[in-house]
Amino acid sequence: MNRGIVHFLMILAAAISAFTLPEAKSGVREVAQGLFVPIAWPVRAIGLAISSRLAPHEQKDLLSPDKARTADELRQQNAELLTRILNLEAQLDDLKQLSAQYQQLGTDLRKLVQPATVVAGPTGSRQTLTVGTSGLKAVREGMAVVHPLGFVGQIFAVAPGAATARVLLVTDPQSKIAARFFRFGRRADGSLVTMPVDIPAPLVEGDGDAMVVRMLPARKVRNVVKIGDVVVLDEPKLPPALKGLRIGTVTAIDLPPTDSGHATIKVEPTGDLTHLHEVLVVSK
Amino acid sequence: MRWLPLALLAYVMLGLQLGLGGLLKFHGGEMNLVLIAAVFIALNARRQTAVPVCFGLGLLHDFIGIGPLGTYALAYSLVAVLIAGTDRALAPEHPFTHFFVTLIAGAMVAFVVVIQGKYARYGVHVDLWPSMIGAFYTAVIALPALWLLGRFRRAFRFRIGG
Repeated sequence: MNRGIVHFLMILAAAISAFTLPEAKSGVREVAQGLFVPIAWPVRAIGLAISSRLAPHEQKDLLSPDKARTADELRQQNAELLTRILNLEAQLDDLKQLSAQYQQLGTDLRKLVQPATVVAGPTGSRQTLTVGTSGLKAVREGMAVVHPLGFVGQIFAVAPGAATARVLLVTDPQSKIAARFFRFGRRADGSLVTMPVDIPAPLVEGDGDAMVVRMLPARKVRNVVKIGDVVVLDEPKLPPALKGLRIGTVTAIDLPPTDSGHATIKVEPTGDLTHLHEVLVVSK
Repeated sequence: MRWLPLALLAYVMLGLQLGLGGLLKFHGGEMNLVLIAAVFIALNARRQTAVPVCFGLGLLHDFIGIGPLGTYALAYSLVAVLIAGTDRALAPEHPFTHFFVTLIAGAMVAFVVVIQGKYARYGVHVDLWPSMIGAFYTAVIALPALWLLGRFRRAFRFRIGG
């Protein structure tokens, strides 16, 4: 057969597959990706080390996103927080009940959360991480992946033998997660308080580097949601212990001119999720 | 053409792409090292070799991602069809050729990915501008990368010509 026709058929087959078929989730793909880990992992470790040296990640000031607080303000708020901690310690008795519930699970918290090393990053326009799971037990699709920065995403696919697993980041366009808003405020005496924001529970969708909340009625968002509000996890499919885990912060609100339309709220994660060294897989 | 160096090139570039994915972003644009490998093949090999090799590279790129198979295979094949066999018109060793050809190839890949995201049945939306910035970024990275690959060109035993 003419080579030109063969090339045309190859291109046609690729086009048909790309435009009509769904994404094929299979163990073979995960194994294939695992084959590249001997190159990807050391390169990523070196890349992360250089990246953190050249462009250290700046932690956002959650309480004052527009203007960084001064050292004096931080000292004062630190003192307030210490007072608050003392108050909270007094409430620990309530939490003992929760602790008893965990004990009923027959294991301790360290066994619920397993650390995993990020061995590879995204490969194209999709927002994924690959984590090495050889030391982990029973990693399954749908498990939550967290980090001190907050919620990272969910296990999307696991290689047979569970050598590696793919994490679909919360910023991936395919990610949709139930959430709620709250903000930090101050009482009359100046102490800090967290206040829920009174709007319907939103669905946070990934949007590449950030996330977006769509389809909230503009009249309910206007003058209610503010830039700097914190978005936290409220996903019923995930373990209840993860409720309230931070997803990100509101950085932009796009409102239509009238109250009849819908608002679009941009939510940014606290850090760049593709730069993580290690994550925690919540395995129960 | 020798297949072992080609397999090594594909393995290293895909491994680097996986490892550095997300780390080397510039204004939302991400470099594409696999595309640089595809441009290297397309610039140096005959069209009848370059098209299936770039198709294979694209298929591997699709395979290690999570999207439907075929997007990058389609994009890199089109890049090969466009570039391969133009060695008489271009100076394949010249840095300007490397930059300009990679820029055009990156723009083509960006268009394919964006159009696939918009019109495919199971497509996921991708913004055009970050993809175009990524194409420019890849073209800049292609200057040292293609110069370096050019040092090993003889190992591939390319046969130049349409």
